[in-house]
Amino acid sequence: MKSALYWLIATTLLALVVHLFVVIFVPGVDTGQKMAQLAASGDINTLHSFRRTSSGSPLLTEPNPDLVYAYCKFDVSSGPLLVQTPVPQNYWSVSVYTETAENIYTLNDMQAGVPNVRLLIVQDAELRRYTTADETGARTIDAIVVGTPSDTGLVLVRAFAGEASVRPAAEAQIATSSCAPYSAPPASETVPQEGAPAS
Amino acid sequence: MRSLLRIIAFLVVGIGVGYWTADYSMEKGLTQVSVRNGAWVTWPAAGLPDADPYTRAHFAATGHLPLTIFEAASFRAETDDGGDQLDQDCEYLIEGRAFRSRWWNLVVYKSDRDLIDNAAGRHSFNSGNMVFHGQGSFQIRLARTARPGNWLPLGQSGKFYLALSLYNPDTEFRANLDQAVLPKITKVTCA
Repeated sequence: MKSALYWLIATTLLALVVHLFVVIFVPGVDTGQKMAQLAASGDINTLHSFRRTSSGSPLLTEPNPDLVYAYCKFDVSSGPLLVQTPVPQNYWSVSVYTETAENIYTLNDMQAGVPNVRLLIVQDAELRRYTTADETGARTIDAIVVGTPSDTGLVLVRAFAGEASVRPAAEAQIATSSCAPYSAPPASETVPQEGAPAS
Repeated sequence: MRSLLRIIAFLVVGIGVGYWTADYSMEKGLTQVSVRNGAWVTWPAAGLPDADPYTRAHFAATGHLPLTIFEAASFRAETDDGGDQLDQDCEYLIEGRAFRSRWWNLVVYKSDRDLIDNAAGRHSFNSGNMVFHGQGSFQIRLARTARPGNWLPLGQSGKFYLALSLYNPDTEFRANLDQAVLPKITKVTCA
């Protein structure tokens, strides 16, 4: 009886350890494979657009047929990435995911309030450098700056294309989006901070 | 010999039970981390930075890149309202009402999480292209062959599931995910 109880407790503990191991560590492996698949499908730091209307090896799981997508697999280990995308008339959003598929940032068209969005993705450690004004009161870049805890990840743009009347325009606009390594402009091109004295 | 059998049983049962419970909780969702509403299930912490490990594991395992509940509320139904697995050999009637969100859609997916190929090229209905009846009510028929009204084609055979996504849902809806009025899924007939 004592022996049976010992084995029951030991088996339960093993099951618990395996359970926690799978829940905690498998996601990283699965997401890593997905990101590798995306990276293999196109260049890093380059934007690709697509719309799913039929089956077969989707780049994104559960593609929404009423959306047109653009994605950019990024690597900011050697510098920031600048994403530029127009905002269509209908629903639109841009999301930034870490390499473990954590949604660290999302902006939609109503929140954006501008016809074009510029998004600068930087390492968390570099965030301060791009969000604080310099000694002249000028910001270093005219863009929304997003810090990422992981060097690699994915930018995903979604735009509504669920009606025939809006689909061509949405696809055309999303196709003009871009994603490229960012080069800091000359100091003379920095943007004056609101309320700061003109230099 | 007896000890060896015990050790083998210990490993097989321990690893088996541990893996099965992990897989089940990641796929179906525990009541502590997912919300059930009729046949529909949603994961409210999806995409949030402080999401629990089960929610993270669920989306990593499915490969789906989620939006947070503030941007979109996403529900999934793998069964009809009677609890039977959705099957492409059957015909279903979906009845519901328009939602208070900016826009929404309902999509049919195969069990491999991809769209079902069909000659009509139709995989979903959204709040803009749906035919509504009075007071915002709607009906969608899921069947292999064409049906009048809102018809979504099913394939030749196999399991499938439905995904309901509400983009920019209002605050009240987000706060009452388990009580929101979601579409009924009724099995009409099977081949």
